[in-house]
Amino acid sequence: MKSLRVFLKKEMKEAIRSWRLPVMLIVFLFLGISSPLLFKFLPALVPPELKATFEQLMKPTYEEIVSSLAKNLSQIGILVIILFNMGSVSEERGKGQLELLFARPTSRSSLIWAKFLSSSLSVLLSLAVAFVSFGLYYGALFPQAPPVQGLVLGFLLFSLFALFVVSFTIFSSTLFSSGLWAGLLSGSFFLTLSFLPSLGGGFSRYSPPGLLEAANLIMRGQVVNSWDGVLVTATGTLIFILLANVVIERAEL
Amino acid sequence: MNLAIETVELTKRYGTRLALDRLNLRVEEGSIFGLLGPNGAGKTTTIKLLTGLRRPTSGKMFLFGDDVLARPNQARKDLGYLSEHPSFYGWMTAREYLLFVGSFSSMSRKELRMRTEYLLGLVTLHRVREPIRNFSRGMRQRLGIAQALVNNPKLLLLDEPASALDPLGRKELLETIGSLRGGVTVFLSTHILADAERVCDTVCILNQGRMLAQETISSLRKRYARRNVELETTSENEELLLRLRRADWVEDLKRDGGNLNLTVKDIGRAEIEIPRLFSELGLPLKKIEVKEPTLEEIFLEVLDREENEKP
Repeated sequence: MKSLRVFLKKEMKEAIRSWRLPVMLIVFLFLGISSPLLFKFLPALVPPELKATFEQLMKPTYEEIVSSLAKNLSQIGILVIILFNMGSVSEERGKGQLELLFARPTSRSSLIWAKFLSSSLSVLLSLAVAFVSFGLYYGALFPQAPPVQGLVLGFLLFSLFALFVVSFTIFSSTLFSSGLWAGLLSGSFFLTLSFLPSLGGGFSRYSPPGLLEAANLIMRGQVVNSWDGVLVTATGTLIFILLANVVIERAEL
Repeated sequence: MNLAIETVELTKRYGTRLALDRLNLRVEEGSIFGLLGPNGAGKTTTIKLLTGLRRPTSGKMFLFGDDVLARPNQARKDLGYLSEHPSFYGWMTAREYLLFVGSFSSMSRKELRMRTEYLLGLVTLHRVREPIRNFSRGMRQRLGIAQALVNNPKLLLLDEPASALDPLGRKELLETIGSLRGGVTVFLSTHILADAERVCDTVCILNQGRMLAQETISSLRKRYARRNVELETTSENEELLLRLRRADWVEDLKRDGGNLNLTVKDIGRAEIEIPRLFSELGLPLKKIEVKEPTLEEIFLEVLDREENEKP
């Protein structure tokens, strides 16, 4: 527990000092406010002759706006999470920083848990900023208030998927001495995974990206049972973080 | 005799390459032990195995009697380690880094703060406020020494500790290491033989993963003594040269200015015969010195013998 506490403190300090957390908060703030802003002000910038076509393409309904948020988070948001986590273990391993730590009476797995917890906290905070800013901007720019319950459920489902991304990216980061390879592996994995829901049936219901679709529908006001996806994603998160522990415990430095 | 380090048939393979071949080390508590060898001899591998950073292919190792493989954290409790190219978190200051790594020890916060300030002073980084990313190589090496000492270790494992230091830094480092004698066991690898000669009590010579010698420097000197004698006289004398060349106990004679360098067959006999000869010829003998081989000469000879003994 002592190792975990010491590593966690270091990770949190590093997230702030290296500007990782502030930058992530700004990116997610932008993702949160961009959809309501875009739907509110873009039509005013469109030339009058294109207005009719444009309004058919971009209807400023709550469903469309919240779908745009979901799309941004599931694409740019996930990419940002991968970028910020791909070097978490590999960079420290590649530079030899872990040597001086693991020659002490520490637990290697506590480093992995500390990285996972600190990254998860950063990601949850960033997602919260995105959802809260979305809600506030939507409420301020459009006549009706956004449905809070749908947004909260959407936030929870997105959060779980984001933790799954963090877990897999940390795992891939333990496999390489370069963050670039870890990023490529994570990127390819999630790109492949994102096609699964389109196969329908069990893939849509059980695969982790199915959660994002469910979140989108829930935020749009539909009732969706996503418990299967929740269970699979939570289990996957745990499995990858445990695998990361196994890899780092066996790693020769 | 208490042992700080003991390895039993320690072997490490990287794929098909044998990096360490049945190494049996015995390092006495309180000694300063040097691990010598050319590049690729297995020095870094040995140190990394002892720290638990790598696992052996076979064999056992003990630190103060604790099995490194069975109880790694217990074995590492009293260990300080410095890698050859130490790397730190660049965003931290030296003080923050020492407080961070010291937090893994059992010291109280107050003790750790006091220890940190003492070590920063010891390595002359107490006035440096900038982050480590701006440090020179020498400053990093000095911080490396401080972090290895932060937990008051009983055993220090240093991998080429002086390689990045300038002559003054090296001198200070060796003095620091020397001052630890008796209290802390120091196990250092180096290819700078003069450094080992200066601080080590005992050395181990490794080549291609095999231990070629392990003994005190003084006994190595005795074993590899080359029977060289240097004589200094004020006047040259042909008769002296002739009689030395004819003497059955002299193997070789070389003139070096006013000095004569002899290689003798029996050092004991030479010590009796030389003063007698000078006395008989009525010549002044300003200096007679039995020259001890340097560690470098011993090292090269050990490697040479190993090469010659290969089938």
